[in-house]
Amino acid sequence: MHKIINDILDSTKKRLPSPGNKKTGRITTRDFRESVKAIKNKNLIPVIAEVKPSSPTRFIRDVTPKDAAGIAKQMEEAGAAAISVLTEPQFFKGSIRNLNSVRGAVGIPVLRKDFIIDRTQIYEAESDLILLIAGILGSSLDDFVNEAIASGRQPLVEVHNEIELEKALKTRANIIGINNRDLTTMKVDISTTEELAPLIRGRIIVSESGISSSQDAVRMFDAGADAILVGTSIMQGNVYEKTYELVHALNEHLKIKPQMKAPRVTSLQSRASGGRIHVDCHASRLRTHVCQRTGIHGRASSRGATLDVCPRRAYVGTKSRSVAFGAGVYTYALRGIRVRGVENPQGFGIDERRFIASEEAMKQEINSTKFGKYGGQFVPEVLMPALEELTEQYEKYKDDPIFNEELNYYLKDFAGRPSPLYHAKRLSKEYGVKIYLKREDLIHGGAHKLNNTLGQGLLARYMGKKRIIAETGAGQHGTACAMAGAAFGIKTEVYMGAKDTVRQRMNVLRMELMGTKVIPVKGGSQTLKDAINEAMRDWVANVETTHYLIGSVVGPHPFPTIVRDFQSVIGKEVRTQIMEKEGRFPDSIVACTGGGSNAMGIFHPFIEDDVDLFAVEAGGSGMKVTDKEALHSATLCTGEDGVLHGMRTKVLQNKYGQILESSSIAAGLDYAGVGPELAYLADIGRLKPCNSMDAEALDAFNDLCMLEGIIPALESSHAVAYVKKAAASGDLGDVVVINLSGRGDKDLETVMGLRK
Amino acid sequence: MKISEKFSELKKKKEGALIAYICAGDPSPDATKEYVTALVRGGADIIELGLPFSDPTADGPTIQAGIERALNGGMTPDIYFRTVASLKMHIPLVVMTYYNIIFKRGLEKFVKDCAESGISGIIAPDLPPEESGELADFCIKHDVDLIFLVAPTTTDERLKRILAEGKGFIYLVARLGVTGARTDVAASTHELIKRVKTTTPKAVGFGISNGKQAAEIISAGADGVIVGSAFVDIIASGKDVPARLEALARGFKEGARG
Repeated sequence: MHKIINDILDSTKKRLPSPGNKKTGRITTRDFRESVKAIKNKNLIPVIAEVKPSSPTRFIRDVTPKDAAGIAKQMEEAGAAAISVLTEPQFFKGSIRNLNSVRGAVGIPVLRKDFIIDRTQIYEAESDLILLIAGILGSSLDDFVNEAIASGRQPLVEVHNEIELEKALKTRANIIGINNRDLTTMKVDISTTEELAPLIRGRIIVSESGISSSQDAVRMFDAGADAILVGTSIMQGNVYEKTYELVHALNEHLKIKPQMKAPRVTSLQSRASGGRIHVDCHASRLRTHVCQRTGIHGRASSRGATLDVCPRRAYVGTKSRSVAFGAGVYTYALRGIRVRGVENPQGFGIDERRFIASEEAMKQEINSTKFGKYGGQFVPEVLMPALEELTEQYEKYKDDPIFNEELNYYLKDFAGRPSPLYHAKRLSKEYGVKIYLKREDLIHGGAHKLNNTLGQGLLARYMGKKRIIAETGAGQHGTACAMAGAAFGIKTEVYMGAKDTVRQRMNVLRMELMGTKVIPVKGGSQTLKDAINEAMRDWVANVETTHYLIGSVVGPHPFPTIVRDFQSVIGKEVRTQIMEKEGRFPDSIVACTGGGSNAMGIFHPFIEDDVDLFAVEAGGSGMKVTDKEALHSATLCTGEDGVLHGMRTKVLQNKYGQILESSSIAAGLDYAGVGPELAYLADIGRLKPCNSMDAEALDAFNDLCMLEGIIPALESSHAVAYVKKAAASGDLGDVVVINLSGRGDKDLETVMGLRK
Repeated sequence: MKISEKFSELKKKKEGALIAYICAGDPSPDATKEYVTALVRGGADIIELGLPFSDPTADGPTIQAGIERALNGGMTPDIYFRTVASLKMHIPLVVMTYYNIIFKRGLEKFVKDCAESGISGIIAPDLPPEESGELADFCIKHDVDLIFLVAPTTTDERLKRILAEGKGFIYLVARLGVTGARTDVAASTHELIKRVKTTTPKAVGFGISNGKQAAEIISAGADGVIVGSAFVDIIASGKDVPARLEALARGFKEGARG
């Protein structure tokens, strides 16, 4: 260690808090990963801007707590991903008061930067992230990381060389900082990041020190950094302008070199531990156009010619199933770039194949209405302009701060979000696997459906539509529409199969109480399928004034995307909640699947992670199929490629393409189609389709009632039943999250009827 | 017979075309030949013969009921093509069905079956040009016309594309909503006929129930009218069907003759 560092450490020992001051309460933190992801998706560079009054060698300016807040606000406005605040008082002139003041002033994550050498320091101040220096903590690094995570803080472990990196990677820390400054010589060399970043898989990489220009920023980003931490060069000049410049460095860089050849995937390597694609193109072009679109974590050599692009997942798992699933992610990530030959890979068994990615294909991907071959817009011409309008308006509002603020208000104060993630201890013991239940049954209305109806209902209002129509099977979506319709003051009409209006009388009454008109559909089989047909007919006739509020991730584009996005709040919450409880992601997520909205909602935020996804369909009373009907609703498991309700997907159909009547004890799973994205994810092996029979679902329903005091919906009981079956085989791993999509009050008559 | 030949023949005679729809197999496969013959006797210039699909989202209650009767009567694509081949008509026949039926049979096989059984055009109301590329290629290969629809809501940009890709005739959807008989001619129909500027013949459908409407539409500039629900209503009644189909067709044709 350099003398300055030793001096700092000596001084730090003198200011340690007394042990009695340890406040062990957990704090609520802001998710740095989400912040980074959101910024990268906008084609910008995630910058951690640092409130830095001084360095040991150079004084910059005095910073009072009030100043610190002002500076941090400017950084936030300029687009920073997080704020770093120095709290070391003697050499960096920082303070904990500065930190508190900053964290109160901004909404983005805040990093506490100090020399942490004693555990009591962790609790000194509330911050979202905390810096832990591997070179200083040595063998106690792991304990510090664990303690920081347990306290609710996200540790950023700083390393400078391979040895330290190796130690850091053995800890649970999700964020690795590469310090370009050598703490023994105090010299700065940003090629440190270029050397170390390629060795890191599956963590967020932050490059620190010595970054002063947008060229530096792009270079670090190309080297594989997910974010850069910049202090001195921002604090020395105009804080807002310099932060802004760094955040937008990628676009600057592209402007300078507009002529770049199209990326060309030249080979695909595979081996047991993962895969690797070589892409021949300019580094930053790949970075911005390929990596960002696809979510692949790219690595570029500084020469910018050949790149290794490695899907995060592929390197993570050593278990055989993870490798196979990795291949799924791999293809998923590359969809639309026309990587021929990996449409349906069986694990990583393919070697050295040649693929071509074209710029044109990438553009198509951006405008695509499809997931692989599924999805699309198979609707009458009358509706095409409405779908175009909806696509356009959704694009406009989905990131609009005012829209989102209003939606979040309703999600929180009206719907009751976030829903808890509950560790079901007795059920876990009975089934032999650690089970967490995502309690969507506690959302207003008793199911996850309201997430989507609030989103689309608000969208309809912003679009100026005067009327909402919807279809409903069991009545859960219809009820959620009625709630949103009443809350937003929009006239609401719901189509429901005549048979279903009898079977689900209670929901009809609920809808009517909230002012919704329920229209019984007498055509066809008088169930959900016919209600959808009728709602589409209504929409065709009234498209100019009416929004068709589809209740699942089905129908023509953009509905599957819109519903998925509005339901993704479920998975996003799970990400944070499971980290708080387990300090890691679950091994598996299990969700019941009819159309698939609760499944996509919880799966989607985990698509790129090392988490296995299980879509449990209704096995009904058996796999028997006649020319007109199926005794089940297991579309992903047994359906064939077809076109129904405006989308290409897997469909239960006979040899002539006539749609079969499906069957299930759970009305919400009773559907002959399935969301196109689920069909796609199943095809590429990213999710596993499976099913539970009526009887198994009833059995699981009883378990949950008796062991946990929770009455689940029969739909959700299918997911629970699958966990009961699969836990013993070890396929689910150690920690499982089940999406408990709804409560079972609506099913009491069905269940009691069967018990008799 | 090619659709274009029929329209140029009518043009010489200065007549509008009557395109008559019924669903094949409604109420039984055997009835279809008799009903089609009756419509032709009444003066139908083109027959649009429905191939039933279980989930006809673009059709109103009348035609949906006809489709259900046909499915219950045992109609399948195999029987359909056999029935059509046995008709031996001297006027163009067009198949109207939903895309899943075409898709499931295999796009090329379906088009080939059309060509071989004597069908000269395909209407798939749930297949917009965006999704039709592959089918259109096979249609060109086997010389079958892929017919597209234009609606009052269709934007100018889309209209351009549809007019460029549409073959046989352009199917103008007279009004928002699904198929079904109505008594008036909407203002939007006149507007749409004016907006669609093309050398391909224009035929107007959805909601035409009497000869007077047909005459009004032809004089507004359309080359043909498409009538469906009014015929299907007669089949639904089950009373004196062939004679009444013939008489009704005659009434429409008189209107269309102008």
